[in-house]
Amino acid sequence: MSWFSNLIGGGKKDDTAAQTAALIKEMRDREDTRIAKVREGQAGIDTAFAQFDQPYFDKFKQTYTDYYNPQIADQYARAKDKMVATLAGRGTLESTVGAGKISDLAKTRAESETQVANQGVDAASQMRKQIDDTKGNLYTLNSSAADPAAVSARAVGAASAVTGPSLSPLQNVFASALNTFNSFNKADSMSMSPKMPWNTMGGTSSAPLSGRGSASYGR
Amino acid sequence: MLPIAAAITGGLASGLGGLISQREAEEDARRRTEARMASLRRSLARQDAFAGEARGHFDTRMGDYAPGVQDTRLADAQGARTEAITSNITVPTADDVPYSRSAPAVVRGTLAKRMLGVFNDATERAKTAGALGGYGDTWQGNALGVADTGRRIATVNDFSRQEAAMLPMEQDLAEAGAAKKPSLWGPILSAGGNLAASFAGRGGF
Repeated sequence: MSWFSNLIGGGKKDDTAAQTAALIKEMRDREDTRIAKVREGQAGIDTAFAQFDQPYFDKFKQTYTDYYNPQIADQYARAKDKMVATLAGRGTLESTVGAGKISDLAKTRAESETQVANQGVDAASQMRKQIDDTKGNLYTLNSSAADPAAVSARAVGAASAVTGPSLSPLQNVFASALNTFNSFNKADSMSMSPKMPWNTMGGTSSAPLSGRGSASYGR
Repeated sequence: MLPIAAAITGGLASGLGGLISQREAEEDARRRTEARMASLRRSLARQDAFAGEARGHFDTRMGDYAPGVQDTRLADAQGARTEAITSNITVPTADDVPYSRSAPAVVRGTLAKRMLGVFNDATERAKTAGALGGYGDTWQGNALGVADTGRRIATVNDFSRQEAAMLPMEQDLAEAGAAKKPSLWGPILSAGGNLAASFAGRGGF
């Protein structure tokens, strides 16, 4: 009947119409599938990174301060013992001058604790940014790959590989507070008429550098 | 009379054939154009959906900058940082110093007063540091929010770009599918009419 169709016209050119409709449908289906996969992968990334919430960063911040606070406490205790021993040796411990020196140490401790807490918040913010960058990279990969299973696996891997900033030991924050006493002690030990007891006993002596205010004499 | 009638009939047939061919060509062109336009309309509808989705992400983020929102966030950030700092400050006590029992009360009082002063000063400094750091925290939060919205819009834009890239191909395919062969009536009538007119012009068949 094709001759008739040709004669009266209106017949479609071969089965082009069906073929093109099928091609368009396939093209659409593929794109819809890709979009669905990208959205699925994106949801997987969001789920994997949901663990990095405010409590997580609060915990990190606490870990940061927990690392430095004992060091401050230890240095404060050592510096205070040394100062108490020095002040006691000079007979000025129970004086307003001595009280002033002790409170200066406490001030230095408070400043150090303030600084550590501030840095802890900054470190948590830095980590938040780092985690967000990683998430952004995964979003880009997800759009390129459109393979939700692979992207989710990579997201979980990346989420578990997030590392915090490196922590370094605290410097001696009370060194400057004790400088005056160290200088005095050194000068006193070299003096012809030393004032400090551990400098008057003869032989090698040392001011108490640590511990609870004890000093060693004549070693 | 016969040649004249044949010439007139041939001319009419030729004209009718041309008319049919022209109408069929016009109909074919119309169908092709309509197919391309239908593809374009479908694509525009999808693009509208993408644009709406992207606009939704954008509007949500812009909500962060509505009147009062930033003030609230700044106050929250400043409060959080201040709390983080103040809670880390050890309260100094005069008991830390091993005074003898005979230590003058004025010295004990001076130390207690100075220790309290140290704590109060540190707390005030913490508030100042918290107020200052709160600005940075707020704007980092804003930046992260904008980055998140940017990623989500970028994803939608990727869909949109792909849609735009597919459109010409889809239009070409739709046009090809809408095309129909012209009938032979037009050419047959035109040819027959021309033939009849030609014979008539020669004086008969």
